[in-house]
Amino acid sequence: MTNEPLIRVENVSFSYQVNQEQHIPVLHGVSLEVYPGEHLAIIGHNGSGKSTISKHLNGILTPREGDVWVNGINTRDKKRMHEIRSQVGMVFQHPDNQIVATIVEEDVAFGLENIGVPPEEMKQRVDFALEAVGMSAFRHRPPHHLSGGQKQRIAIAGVLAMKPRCLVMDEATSMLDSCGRQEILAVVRRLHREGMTIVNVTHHMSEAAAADRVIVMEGGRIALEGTPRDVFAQHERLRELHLDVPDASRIAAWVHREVPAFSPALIHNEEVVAEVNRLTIKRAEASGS
Amino acid sequence: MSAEFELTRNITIGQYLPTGSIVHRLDPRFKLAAFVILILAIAICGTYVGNLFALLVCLWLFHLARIPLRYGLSGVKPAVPFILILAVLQLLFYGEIAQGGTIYLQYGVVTISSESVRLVIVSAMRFVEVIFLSSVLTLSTSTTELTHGMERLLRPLETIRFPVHAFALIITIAIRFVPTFAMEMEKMMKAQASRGADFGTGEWWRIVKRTKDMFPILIPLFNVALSRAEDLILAMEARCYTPGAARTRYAHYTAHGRDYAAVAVSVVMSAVMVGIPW
Repeated sequence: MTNEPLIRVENVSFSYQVNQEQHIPVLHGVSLEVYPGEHLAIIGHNGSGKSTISKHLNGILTPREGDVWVNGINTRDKKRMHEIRSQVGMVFQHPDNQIVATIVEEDVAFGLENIGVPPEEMKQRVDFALEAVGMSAFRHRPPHHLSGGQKQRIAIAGVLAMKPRCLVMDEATSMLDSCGRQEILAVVRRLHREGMTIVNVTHHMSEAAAADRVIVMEGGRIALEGTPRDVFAQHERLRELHLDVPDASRIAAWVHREVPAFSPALIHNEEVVAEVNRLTIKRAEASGS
Repeated sequence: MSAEFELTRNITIGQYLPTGSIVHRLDPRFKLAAFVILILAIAICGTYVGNLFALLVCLWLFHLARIPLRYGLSGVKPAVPFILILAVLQLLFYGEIAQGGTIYLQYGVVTISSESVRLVIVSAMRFVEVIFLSSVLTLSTSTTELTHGMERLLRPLETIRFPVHAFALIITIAIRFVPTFAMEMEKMMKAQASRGADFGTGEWWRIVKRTKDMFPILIPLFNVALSRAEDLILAMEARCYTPGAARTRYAHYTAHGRDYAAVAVSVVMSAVMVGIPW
């Protein structure tokens, strides 16, 4: 990708302050770029700093050292915080803890109220956002009657209404059941197709496999970076980092050990099916001729 | 055993009873204003006839809102002991203050006169009227509308730097989290009960014991509340919330003729209540 990065993280170090003397260092000189329109996944085990780096992307945390630039604006610039946060929206882990209002549509409007959007325009934007996540029918419901997946869709709608360029998901699917997770992933896939930049911080390797690019965090540093295929090919290295590989990848590796013709570099379920088909046809042809 | 843990199944926040009557359809800002005017009139009105009239107004409102009167009565019921105690105390010790009229009985500090009897009866009536009125209001207005109405009516206070919006937001968030915490509490009670704790089985008069029974629930509940609050702050900040900053409002109400009429009617009725000389 040759275009300008949307978010540039330059040599960022960060530590949480426990008390006056004690700091817990979390990030050590992390640099990364998020390009417009890409789907980036950040993985890493607990405490690797992946959530902390994601909170730097829209200025919720500001680096102790280094800089974060969002579309050319430094996140230290408190005066332009609204600009930064309307460009980079964030959905958090817990579905219940990010809904503010007692009615769905008002919650979606919350961010718009904060940045002072006029009421007429607000109405249109809320309609658009609810439509985009498929929750228009629920607009007058109180949020506590919704399922986890529906609540997360509302949270995404709240971000979309701000018309961001980038959506950061901080383990947004980790509290959901499988159905809810699929709902969210479907919404995210569609948004990405329509041009939204996605940064997905996740525990689920299958989600990472669906990204354009994967960054693996370890001990506050970037341990690996590359396309999902390159990253998940490094089984040994990932095991050292206490990370799993996608199911498809593991199955492919197993089969490869028994049947050397079977490609080990597969990361999606569909690819495994295709590979099995390919080999079956090949065998049939071989025995036929 | 099962029923006592079912906290979330029947949860209703506020007690909104949608009947779609004209009272329900009133603009909450105007409804709240009319309500405040009537409450003030009731507080001022100290006559038998005035209070009888106020009581009639309340009954008429129930009828108009198509809400069965038993909803109002169920609000009065828990207040009855309080009203009685208040009546007795007023009867015994208010004779000195509420002087005038004929004296029926005088014994030591206890003076019972026609004036003090009037005071007792009028206070009891006021009580019932206020409960009736607030019942009509809360039964015909959703909590969301109430918050909006309140926020709008308090807006003049912004000139003296009262944080009206923050205040409304606090109430909204409180209402929003009631079911969440009810669910949390249900989970904790089940977890504790499965390890042998027992809730609500002590006799009702052993208040200390029953209170102590709740500690294993209350402390973790506080803990959870704090961590949820931290998450919520983060989520609000991520969506550009700045305390005290100027914002626009999504909820939009347009006043109709009936809304102005409602306030006018309440003013007239209040004038009658206050103006009646007997």
